[in-house]
Formats: sequence, C-alpha cells, structure tokens
Amino acid sequence: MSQLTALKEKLPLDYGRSIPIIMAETFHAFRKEKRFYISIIYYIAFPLLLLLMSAGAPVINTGTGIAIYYAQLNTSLQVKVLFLSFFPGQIFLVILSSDQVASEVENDTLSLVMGKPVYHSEMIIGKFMGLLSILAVLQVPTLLVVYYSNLARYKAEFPYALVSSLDEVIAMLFLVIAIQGMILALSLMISSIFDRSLYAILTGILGLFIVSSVSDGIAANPDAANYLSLSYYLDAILPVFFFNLEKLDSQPSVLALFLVILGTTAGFLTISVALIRRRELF
Amino acid sequence: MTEYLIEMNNASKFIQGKPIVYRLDLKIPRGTLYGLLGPNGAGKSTTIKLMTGRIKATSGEIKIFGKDPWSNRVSVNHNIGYLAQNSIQYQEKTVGDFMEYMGRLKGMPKSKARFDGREVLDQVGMGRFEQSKIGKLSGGERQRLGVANALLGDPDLLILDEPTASLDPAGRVYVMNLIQELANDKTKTVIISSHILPEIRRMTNHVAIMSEGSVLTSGNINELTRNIYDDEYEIRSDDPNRLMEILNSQGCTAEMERDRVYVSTNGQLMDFWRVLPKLCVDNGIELRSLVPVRDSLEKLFLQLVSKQQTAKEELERQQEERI
Repeated sequence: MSQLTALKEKLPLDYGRSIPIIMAETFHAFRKEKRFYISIIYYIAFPLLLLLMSAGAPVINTGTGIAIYYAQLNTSLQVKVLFLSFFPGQIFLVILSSDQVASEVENDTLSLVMGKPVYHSEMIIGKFMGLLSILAVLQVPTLLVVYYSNLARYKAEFPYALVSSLDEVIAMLFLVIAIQGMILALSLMISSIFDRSLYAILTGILGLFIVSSVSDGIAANPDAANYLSLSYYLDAILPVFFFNLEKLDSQPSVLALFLVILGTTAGFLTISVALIRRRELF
Repeated sequence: MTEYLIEMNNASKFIQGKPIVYRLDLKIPRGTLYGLLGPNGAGKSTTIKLMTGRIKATSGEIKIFGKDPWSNRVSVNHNIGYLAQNSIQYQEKTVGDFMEYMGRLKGMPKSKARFDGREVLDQVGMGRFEQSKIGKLSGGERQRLGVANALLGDPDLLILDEPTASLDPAGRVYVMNLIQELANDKTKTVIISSHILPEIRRMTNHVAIMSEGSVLTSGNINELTRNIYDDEYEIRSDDPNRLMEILNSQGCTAEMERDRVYVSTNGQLMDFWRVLPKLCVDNGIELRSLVPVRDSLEKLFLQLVSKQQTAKEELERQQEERI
C-alpha cells in the first residue's frame, strides 16, 4: 500500500489537468483584446475583398489554346491570392502570440499561476492550444467560404476547381493550421526568453522577417538544401493539393511535410518549456 | 520531538553576485504562526520565494514538507497558499472569475471552484465585489483578494508576504483578526513577513528576526524576550506626579512630560499592563490610558540589529587597517 502511495507521488498522475483550463483562459483573454478584433478584420475582410476583386474575371469552362491558358492562369492566380491573404497573416500570429509568456512575467501573473500546482509544460501547451484555437476561429471559416465560393463559381473539374473533395479541404486546413502552429510555437519560444512583452513582439516580428529571408534565400539557390524553405514546401505541395497532380520525384511527400512541421513545433515547445522552467520568479 | 515543516540549512541566494540571503538557517515547526521580521531589504521576500520554489537557492539545502521546493514545485504547491507582495494584475477579469480560475488551477472542479471562491471571498469581506473587475479595485481590496486567493483550497501552509501592506487601518485590523482566527486551527502553519513589529507581535507566536540576508535569532517570542523586561509605556492619569513617584519606588524609571508619564520597567515589573491598574487602585489614582511605546520584541530587534551593525563596522575597520 505504501509502495502504491510512493508510486503515486512519483508519477504525475494529474498531469494535463491544467491544459484545458489554461487553453480556455488564453482563448477568453484574447476575446477582450483589441488586437483580436484587428485580426478578425484582417482574416475575414482581406480574403473576402480579394475574392470580390476576382469576381469580375471571366469564367471559362471550355475551350482550347489561348482560352485554356488564360483559365489556368486565372486559377493559379486565385490560389496565390488566397495563400497570400493568409501567409502575411503570420505577422498577426506573431503579434498575437509572442508576448504570451513575457506579458505574464511583466504583469506578475506568471507567479500566481506557477504558485498553483501547474507544470511548466502544461502552461506552455495550454497557451499553445489556446492560440491555436484562436487561429482556427479566425481562419477556418474564412478558408471554407473562399474555397467553396470558388468551387461554386467554377463548378467544374480540373483545372478550374480549386478543390475537388472534402478530404482535400480538410487536408488543406490541417496544412495551413499546422504551418501556422509552428510559427505560434516559435513565437511562444521567443516569448519565454523575454520579461517585457514589447521586446518579445518586436523580436518575434524581426525573427519572422529573418527566417523568411534566409529560407527564401536558400530556396533561390538550386544547389542549397532547400528543404529548409517554407516556400519550397508550399510550392511543392500546392499543385498536389489543388490540382490533383502527381508529385514530381524531387518533391517531398505530404506526410514528410507534416512530420517536419510537427517535429519542429514540438521542438520549439520543448525549448519554451525548458526556458520557462529555468526562469526564476522574482 | 518537534516536527519541522520547513528546514533551511545554510541556504544562500546571490543575485548578480550580491548576497540577498546568506547562509540562512531556519526551522519552522508545524502548526505555528511564524513571523519573519526585518527591515526593508533584509531578505524576507527572497527567503519566502526560496521556500516556495519560486527561485533556486545558489547553495544550501531547503526542505518544505520534506521535499526540495525547486525540484518539487508542483507537489509542494498543492498544500501552500501564497500571498505575494505585488498586487493581482488580471485587470479585465472579475473577482469571481479570477477565484474560479485559481481554484481550477488548484485542481477543483468548476462548480466547487466557484462555490469555494465565493466562500473565501466572504471570509475576507470581499463577497460584494464578486462581479467587479479587478482593475477597478483599490489597492487594499486587491490585497484582500490576494489573501482570499491564498486561502483557496484550505492549504496546510499559508505564506503571506507583507499581508497588511497597502491596507487602510480598518483593513489591517480585519486581516490581522483573520490571521488570528486561522491560528485557532492548530493544523495550519502560517508564515507572515513584515517590517511592522506590533503586527508581528499581534499575529504570530514564533519569530525569526532577519537583517541583511541572515537570521539574527529565531524561536518562540516569549522565550526570546524572556530576559528583556524593559518595556516602555506611556501612561495618562489624574495624578501623574504621584504615579511617577510610585513607579520609581518600584524600581522602574519614570519621567513626566506634560501630563504624561513615560516609564521603563527595567525588568522590575512583569506583566506591567496587569500590575499597573492594581497599583493605581491601591493608591487611589485614576488610570486614564496605558499605551506601550516600545515592547520587549522591539528592544530585542534593535539590540540585535545594532549588534550586527557594530560587528560589521568593526570588520570593515579591521579590513581597512590591513589595507
């Protein structure tokens, strides 16, 4: 019996209990912030505006030669516009997330939370999940509206339809959320370093700029190991997702892409936990 | 054998090379009301943070509930209620939501967290603020909320860092009475840090006097002050001259200033506050007021601090001479 008690004490049996609480707290706290509403405007208004702008373009369902060429051009342009409307949103992700831990240190609320029986990893995972849920609320409805409105507009098969089945829509959503989740994890890591939220936000934005520049630079060099580049992955994956094209030999598989993204996210979160564990609460 | 809840052996904490707590030895018995007394900058808050695992000791050993607080922070915090010196900064949250959030982090189901939170708020006189936003509360109200947060979950150990700071006089009395009520529960250990002597005297039965990061002395207040009898009082009566003569004849040193008598007991009259009324009645003097000016604990505190200061100056002088 005493061995059982000793074992119970050793094992963190109540681990994970605080994650949904911190997740819900992160989510509800954001709803009261101005930047949340600015993000809503960006994520909803900007893609819909682009959609509206492309509404005037002629719909070409049949034809050959120059007609099909313009149809393809128009379709690929729409895909690019769609992704452009989400990926500059990375900057919003950084603004939303990079002060998560730093602001808690700044306001001395981290000390309150850590004064309760909460593991450091529960805190980080809870915050990450909370941010991810905000992201889902912001992006998923807009993505679905944009995709299905395109589908309805072109009501045709390849190359005019952007997506052709539900599983592809779900896979696309997972891809977008997973990539942006990775950026969130990176922002959380940056946030765990700083004591001041402003420094964390500025460093997050600067970090995003540097990472994008470096990865694009690597991607531009054909000899370089361009597996590091986000653009490379997107360029390689987009045709598979949107045009049902067979991937080329040199392109990474979707599974490999997911694994890379998940591994990197887990790595960033682990570093965040290590950083916050070392932190002393003065 | 005394069971110690907290044991600190030779614990030190250096921040940027400066010793904030230095070779600190402290043993806090279970079920006591323990006061950490010392001037500002004595290292009281740092000691508390070391005890609760908020900061890591540079050297030495710390045990709380028999475990190292830094590496067992989660399991240790199940049984601790902690009031920090800084006020609560969840500006946008309502008091009720805050208590529910804290209760749930403590492991309570949602309904119990809400119910217990409400109960504790009533206990500290904050029940009517349940729907108020924390950002709208005054400093004193936030302090009471901090006390309520510490009491949540009925912890075995309550650590209150300057609990009466930023409270108005009524609030101070309220919190002090609350802590004294908690003292009735002999299973609870309460640690209070303060630089205000009368408060420590009133709220606690054990004390550790700290200065410059180390404990000068510690133990039961009555035992520590057993050999210090020279309490000082201010007395008002209808015949101060005669009272002064009587007190001087009892071996005390009494002086008169305007209509008041200031008396130092010189260790001659034990329980002066009990003896004086009897003396007055026997001699037909009307006693109007008796106010302690400086009690034995304050004397002890001043003696120890001045002794430490003298030793430090002597050391510095010797070092200068060597150079």
